[in-house]
Amino acid sequence: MHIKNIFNLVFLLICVHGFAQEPSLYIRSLRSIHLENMPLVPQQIKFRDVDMVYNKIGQFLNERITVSSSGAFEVSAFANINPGVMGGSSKDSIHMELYVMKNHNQPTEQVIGTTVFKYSYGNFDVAAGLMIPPKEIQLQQGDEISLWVKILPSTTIDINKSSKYDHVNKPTGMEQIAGIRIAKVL
Amino acid sequence: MDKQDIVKNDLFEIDEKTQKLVIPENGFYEISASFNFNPSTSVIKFNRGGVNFGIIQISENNEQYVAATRKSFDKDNQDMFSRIEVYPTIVYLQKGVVISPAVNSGLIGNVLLGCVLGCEKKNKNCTSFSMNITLISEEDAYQKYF
Repeated sequence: MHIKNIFNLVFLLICVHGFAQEPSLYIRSLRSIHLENMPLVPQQIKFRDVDMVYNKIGQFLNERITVSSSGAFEVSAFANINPGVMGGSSKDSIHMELYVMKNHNQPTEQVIGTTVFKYSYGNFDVAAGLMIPPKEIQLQQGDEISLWVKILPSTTIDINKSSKYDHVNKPTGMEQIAGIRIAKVL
Repeated sequence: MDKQDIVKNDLFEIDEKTQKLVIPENGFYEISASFNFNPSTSVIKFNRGGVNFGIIQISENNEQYVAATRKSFDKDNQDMFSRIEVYPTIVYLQKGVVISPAVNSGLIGNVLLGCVLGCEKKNKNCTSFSMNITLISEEDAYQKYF
């Protein structure tokens, strides 16, 4: 790949010595995940014990992340999603929403952050990174954080319906397919 | 990249001979990056246009992204600059591995001949690329991939 005109480069390299425990959490999946072709139905992107990279702020039990203390936190997430079909018309499109929930199915349920991606022009078999930018939020001790995906009703065609196809998958060369980061704001 | 592009560095040993960024010790690192990229093409149209952006680790037997995202370009953004963010990612890195920013074609239907990592000429305050890496814990760990 030819890259030219690189200017205004900023290379920011910071190391913070002197503390051994940055209060944050990072969990990611290296496994692909199947989605059902069910518009509007929330589908959770689940993690396992082996997916936990770093955890100094919470608990991970029974596929649930809970924070162990109250305070201000920064939450971000991502998932690489490929609907896995080729559309027949440039007018068709698939709309996906990725969102982070607090306390799903509880009275204190809240959407913390969300992003929507539109697959368009008949080109639906390219994975795209859906990113939820870092957002600061107040969390209480015991609050539960989870990651969800939803096919929006504006979608005009089905996603790949093969039970063998995993929509949350691994674009070329990248091992991480979905993840959540939670960092305590100090 | 040039050494004068480094804004702050308490992590890497860098002298006049340095050409690689070598991780100085085992530990958990938090990495983020930002790319301003233009495929500069008219050929994606209704075809595939997936490009990967991120930070790779390089060791003797391994070269792979440790923090990255996939940007999917289409007819609407194939000939304009897009900001691609890699939000903070925590990985375990071994002492001695080299880290480097990287861009590669993911799933793409046509060759990109003139793509640009840069900025629009009239945008004087634009940063074309930035990377931040912070050592957040020196504790031992082992992960298969990172």
